[in-house]
Amino acid sequence: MEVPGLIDLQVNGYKGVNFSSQDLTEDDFVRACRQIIESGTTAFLPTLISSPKSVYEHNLPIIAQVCKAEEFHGHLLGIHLEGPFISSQDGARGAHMCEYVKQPDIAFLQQLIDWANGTIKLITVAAEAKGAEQLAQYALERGIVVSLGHQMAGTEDLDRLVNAGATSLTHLGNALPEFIKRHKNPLWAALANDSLTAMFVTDGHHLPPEVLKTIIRTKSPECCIVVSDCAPLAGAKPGRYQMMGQNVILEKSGRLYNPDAGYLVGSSATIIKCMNYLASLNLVTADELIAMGFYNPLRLISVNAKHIAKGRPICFDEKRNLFYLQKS
Amino acid sequence: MRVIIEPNYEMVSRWAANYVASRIIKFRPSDSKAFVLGLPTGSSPLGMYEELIKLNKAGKVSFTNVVTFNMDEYVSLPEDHPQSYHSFMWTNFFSNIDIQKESVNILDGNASGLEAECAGYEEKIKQMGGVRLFVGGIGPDGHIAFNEPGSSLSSRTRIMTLTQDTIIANSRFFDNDVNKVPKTALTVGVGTVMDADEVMIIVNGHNKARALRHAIEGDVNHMWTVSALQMHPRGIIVCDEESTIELKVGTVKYFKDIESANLDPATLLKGIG
Repeated sequence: MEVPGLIDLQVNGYKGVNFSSQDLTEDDFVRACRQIIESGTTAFLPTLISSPKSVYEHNLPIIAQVCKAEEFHGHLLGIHLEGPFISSQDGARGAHMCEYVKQPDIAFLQQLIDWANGTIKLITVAAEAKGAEQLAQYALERGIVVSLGHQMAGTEDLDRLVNAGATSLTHLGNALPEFIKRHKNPLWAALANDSLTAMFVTDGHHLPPEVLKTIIRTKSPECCIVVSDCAPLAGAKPGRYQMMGQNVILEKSGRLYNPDAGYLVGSSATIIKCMNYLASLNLVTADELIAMGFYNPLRLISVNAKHIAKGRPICFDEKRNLFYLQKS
Repeated sequence: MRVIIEPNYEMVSRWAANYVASRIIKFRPSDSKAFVLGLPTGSSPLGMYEELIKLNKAGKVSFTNVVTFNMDEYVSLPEDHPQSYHSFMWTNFFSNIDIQKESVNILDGNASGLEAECAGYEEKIKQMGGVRLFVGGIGPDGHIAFNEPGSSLSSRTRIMTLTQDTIIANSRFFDNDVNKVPKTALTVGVGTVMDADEVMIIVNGHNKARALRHAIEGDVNHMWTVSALQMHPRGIIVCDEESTIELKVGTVKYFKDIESANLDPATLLKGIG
C-alpha cells in the first residue's frame, strides 16, 4: 500500500553535518536536508540540542533562512529546540553537556525565537524545572508546541505543565538515569498521563521491544509518535568518531554510544529504518504504523497533511511488514 | 534424496558443517588434488560457516587444498560494498579460515563482459574436475542461487534479472531504497548446481515451509527450482523442525525414521580425521 509520507520531529543532523555544531554552514545544512529527504524522510524538524549561546546565535538564523526557502516548503516544518531548559541531572540530561543546560528563562527564549525568526515549532523542556510552566505558556502563545523530556518530573510536575498546555513527551523511556525508584519515577508518571502523546525512538537500540509494547498499549497508537532522534553520524560508516566534544562509537549494528559514559548519543537510523524496526515487532497494524509515522506527528505540531510536499514515494509491503522507497 | 530433520537451527548448522568437513577429510585433498566446494550466501548458511570456522580453528579440517565456487553475485555493485557477496563471504567465512585467496572463486559482477565472465566460470569449474559438493539455501519461493521461479532446470551460469518481489525484499539491506538495490545478478544455473557430485540444501524457519513442501512432496517443476534436487542421485536437504510444518506428518516420520541413526552431527566425524 502507498504511504502518504514519513515525518520526523527530531533530526539532529545527517552524514556528518551536525545542526548543533559551531561550524554549521548554509551549504552543509542544505546538503544534509536534501540527503535526509532523499533517504525517505518526507518532512522533518531540524533539532538543536542544548548549546552555547554562540551556537544558537550562529545556527538558528541559518536554519531559519533555509526553512523559508521555496525548495524546502513542506519539507522543513520548523525547528525543534531540544533544551536548553532541561534537567542538569546525570542520566536525565542524556548526552547534553551540563554547562549548556539552563533554568527556564523567558528572556532567553525570546532571544532564541528572534534568532530563529519565528520558525521554532517545538521545544523540549523538563517539567520540574523552576519556571517551566510560565515558559511553556509563553512558548505556546507564540505558536510553539511544548514537549516534556530530559527530566525527572513526577505526576504533579506533568499535570502542572499539561495545564499550561504541554502536549507531548520527548523520547519517552530514554534520557533517564540507569537506576530509578520503583514507583515514584518519571516513567510511570509519563505513561500514566493520558494528556501527553509519547514520542519515542524505535531504532532497535534505544528501547527494547517489551518497553515499546508497554508504551504503545498504555498510550494507544493514536497517542504515539515515532522519531529517529538521528545523530549527525546517521548515514556514516561504522567506526570511532568525535561528536559534541565526546568520543563516540558507531557499531555495525547501528548502535551509537559514548564508550566512556556508556550512554547512547542519539540514533544512527533515519525514520524509515525506525518504522521498519517497529513494523518487525508486529505490535500494530499497517494503518496504526502510518498514523505513528505520519498523521500523529503532524497533528502534534498542527500542520495539515495537505501542506506536506511530495518526497520520495514510499510503499508498505504488508506481506513482509516492510516500508520501502519506490523508484523515483 | 536424503532429508535430515533437526530440532533447531543450531543443530542444522552443526550437521551441515560436519558433513562438509567429513567430505573434505575423506577426500584427502592435496596440492595436486583439490576438493571443489560450491557455496551460498544468505542467512541460512551463516550458522554452518560459524561451525566450519570452529572446526578449522580446532584443527579438525583444513581448507588449504579446497577450491570454492560461489553461487552468485550482484551486477555492478562494488566488490567492497558491505552488501556484495564478496564482502559477505570474506567477512563471514574466508577471512576466518586457512583458505588460500586464489582458491576462492566468486563471479565478478563488475566484469567488462558479463557473458564471457559466466562462460569462463563454467569453464573453470570444468577444469577443476567439477564441483564435489554444492551447498545451497533456498528462498521462500523455492529458488536456489538467483534462479528465480521459471528458470530452466538445465540452466547454466548467466545474467539474471531480479523480480520486483526480490528487489523489495532486498531493499532492507540497501537503506530501504529500491533505487539502490541492484536489478541484475550473475548466478550459476540450476544445471550447474545439479552437475555437482553431491548437493546439500540448508532450509530453516517457518517462512521456508511452503518451499520445502514443494521440494520434497511436490513435482519437479521450474516454478520451484529447488525441486530439481529430486532428479539428483545424491541430494540432501538439512532442515529444522520449523520448516517442516507444511509437510505431511507421514513424510516427516518417514525421513526421521530412516535417518534416525544419522541425526547426531557427531556421528559424521566419528572415526575420521
